[in-house]
Amino acid sequence: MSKIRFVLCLSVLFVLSGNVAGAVDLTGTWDWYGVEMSITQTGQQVNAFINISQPDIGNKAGDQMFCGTLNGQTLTGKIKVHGTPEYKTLCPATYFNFTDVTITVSADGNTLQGQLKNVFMNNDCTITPSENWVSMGTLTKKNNTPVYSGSGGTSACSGSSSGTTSTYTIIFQAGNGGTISGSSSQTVKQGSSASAVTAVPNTGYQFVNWTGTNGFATSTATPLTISNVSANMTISANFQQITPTTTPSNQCIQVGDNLTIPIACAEYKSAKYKFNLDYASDIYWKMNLNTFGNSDGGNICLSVVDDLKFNIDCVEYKGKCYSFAMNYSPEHGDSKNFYWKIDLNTFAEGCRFAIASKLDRTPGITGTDQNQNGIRDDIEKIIQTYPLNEEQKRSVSQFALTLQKAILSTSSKNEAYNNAMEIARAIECMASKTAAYRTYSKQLQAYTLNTEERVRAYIKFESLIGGSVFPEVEGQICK
Amino acid sequence: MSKQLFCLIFIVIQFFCGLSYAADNPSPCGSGYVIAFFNGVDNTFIQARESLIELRAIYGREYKKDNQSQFIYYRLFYNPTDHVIKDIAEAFKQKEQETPEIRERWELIWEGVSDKNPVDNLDPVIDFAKILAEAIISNTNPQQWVDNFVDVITQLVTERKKILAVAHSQGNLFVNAVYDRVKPNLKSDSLKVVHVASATATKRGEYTTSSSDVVIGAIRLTLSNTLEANVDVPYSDVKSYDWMGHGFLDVYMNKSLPLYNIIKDNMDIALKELQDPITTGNAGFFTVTLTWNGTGDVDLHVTEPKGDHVYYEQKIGSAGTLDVDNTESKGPEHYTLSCDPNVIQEGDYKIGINNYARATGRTASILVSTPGRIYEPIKIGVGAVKGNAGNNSPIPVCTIRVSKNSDGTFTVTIPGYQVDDSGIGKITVNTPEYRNLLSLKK
Repeated sequence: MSKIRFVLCLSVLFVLSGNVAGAVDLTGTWDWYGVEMSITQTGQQVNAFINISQPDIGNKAGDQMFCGTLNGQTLTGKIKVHGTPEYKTLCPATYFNFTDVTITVSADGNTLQGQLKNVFMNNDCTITPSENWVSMGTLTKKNNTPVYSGSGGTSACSGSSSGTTSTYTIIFQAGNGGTISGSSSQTVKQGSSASAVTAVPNTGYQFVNWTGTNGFATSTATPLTISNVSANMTISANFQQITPTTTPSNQCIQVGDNLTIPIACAEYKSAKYKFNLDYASDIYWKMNLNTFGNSDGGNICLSVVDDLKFNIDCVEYKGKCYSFAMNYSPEHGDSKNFYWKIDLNTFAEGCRFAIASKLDRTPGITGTDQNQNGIRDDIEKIIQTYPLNEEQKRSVSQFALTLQKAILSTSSKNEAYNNAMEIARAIECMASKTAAYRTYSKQLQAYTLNTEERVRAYIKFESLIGGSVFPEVEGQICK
Repeated sequence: MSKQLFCLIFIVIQFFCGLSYAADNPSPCGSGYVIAFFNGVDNTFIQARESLIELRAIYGREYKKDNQSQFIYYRLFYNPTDHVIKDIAEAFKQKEQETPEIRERWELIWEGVSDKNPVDNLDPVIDFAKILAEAIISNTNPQQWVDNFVDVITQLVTERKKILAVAHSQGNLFVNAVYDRVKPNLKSDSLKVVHVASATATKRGEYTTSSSDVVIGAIRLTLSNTLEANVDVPYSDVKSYDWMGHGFLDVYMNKSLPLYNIIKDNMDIALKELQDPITTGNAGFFTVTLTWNGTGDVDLHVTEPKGDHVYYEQKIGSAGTLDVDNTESKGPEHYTLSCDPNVIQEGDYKIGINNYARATGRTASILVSTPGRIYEPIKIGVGAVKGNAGNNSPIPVCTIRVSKNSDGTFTVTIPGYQVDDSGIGKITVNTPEYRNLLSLKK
């Protein structure tokens, strides 16, 4: 299990600048729990520099730590954070990072209280932003004379006042099925933004997402702009072939009045074939040799085993669906033809597997969620087909949402515990609305965790809640 | 000056772990019963929660004995399924290469974990029973989880709760380990166990294992000393519910099968026989339980928001009470915050400990329990013996923050609380601001 090591040190450097209408001037020397900092302010631009060396974590006196723009009494900008010393060798490229900071200036301009968007450093040296703001405490002004005036800092703390600015290379590349529009190789200063690039799918393909290295969070935005660059990255645009929209009925093999079963794809010893099975008599079907040929495959290809037996998951005949196995029957009929018979032990009404081809199997955990409500579109459609009233469907949707959240954002035991309690809440809600709640939770668990990547994300979630004790849920169970 | 003064370590802070207390659940301050479910590894969290709901459907919120009704609370002692799912995922990856019908259809593995064989027309996609059996045999109980479970059971008993532990499959290994640690410290019969589909060789209460349980059968073939099946159920009766014949809800708690009534009788008898714990402790809106791993006298100190210092010499504060004090060994010591909204104080409750005597080298375990969360215990060394001198400078453990919501309910959080990989709670925000939060000085 790769558990996040989440420690990042905030090396204190505040660069604040600016004020409105000259009401506040932050220029001066400040104290932050014994750490002295110089702040200079020019107009609304604010820069902060550390006055004390921190050899353990690599800061020198004069290094810039913070910068931002002051609007009214609120300063927004970037603050330099870095890992604990062991990360210096473990993760040299991501040891330093910049993250969002918001600071509130007191009315008299002598106290600053800040919050920052912390970041996690993962064992693989990638960086994960936190959802929550965390307090960075209080700065108090000591005098109006800064030790360091600095010279830079206006481009998101892109370097130290005395050092050189780091640059990084961002490479954009296109996967199969599309191209990149924009600069595919860019050199970007630390903390700055790369210029926008657009993923352009070829005809017959659609853009899926961007994936990348070194802490790049998977994104579906196009054009894509990467801001606050702090590491070399290679980012790939992923595309997928557009498959024709299908309705549930034509997922099934359609059988007409003559009872011919057209097999679009059957795989036998790694080769794929197509053929029709014409109805012969009783429970027997005969291969139509005129229709036999190679197949270019299909969404789901039937598997023919050594004894030439195969299973048909779904055929539709006169508006009803059936599934059954077909056994090869050389004993039947004549020696010139090939016959199969239905295995009646397996014959069942219903197209239980037709749904398989409708499930979203796009790369990544998120899947397609066009309305951005946190539930994959295919799951929503499935829920809509359930024989439930609107209130019941809402409860089932609550479950789908919490399960999706658990696999999307579970990076610590705390987060996993909270996500688990939200799943528990949703199950309670479902159970209060429909007696058959376990049927729906089972199905939605399977449909949500329907690719290897999603299964592995759930495994991680499970591993993080092991050994915990869970009480009953508190508060409203249905949301 | 120490490094920390410069290097402010901000760990992702989940400040708002706690949930508000709502009145539609049993009061957190009640005593009564707890039905504790120890799940097996074929139950994902989802199925384990459903098991808890179905147990509640049987017994409800109240248990009546001698014309007195008492609350029943429900707790899930969670044994995760990640190892089993990993094994199944590996098996599925191999299988999908040779079976085009299932290629990329990962949803099938879940039906195998918890449902009947999903592909009736095919041979079983994967031999789930074998994987489950192997997982149960090979998996050793992480000691830290047992420690955590022991602390939670100890806290529940200290708060006057009678406990019926219901364990299924591998959960029985945990329940036995926990029972053996807790039972010797109990002064009355306040902990009972009912085993279901036990994968163990010994029992701590009545057990029920079906003769057609494929998983337990496979374990028995490997470990000959597994408890014998004691209820004869034809496989033909169970296979339509669960082809492995092993599921807690689908098989053992299935009212269509004879197993249900036997297990229900076992639980009924255990509940009836449970005795009140002998303790001076009480449940509270939140509680803090201190235990330590040996002899000696370690003291729990709480500074309440209004400044009351609650400890062995002043047991009653203006918001809560130190209702259990232990001066000999292991604990527990126990602080209870009132459940009366007029008494609960908003603000920070600072928790500390002091090695009063003879406990040098011991590790203390501090368990905080709130309405919305049972925190993994925080472990901390008890430090040097300080006697009375330590009363004014206990070792800080954590700060428990109570805030009042607009609807009049309260929310409890522990700033900076994290859990490490092994399952130990830690306070990881090491800033001057936070050190101030921890400081017990008024």
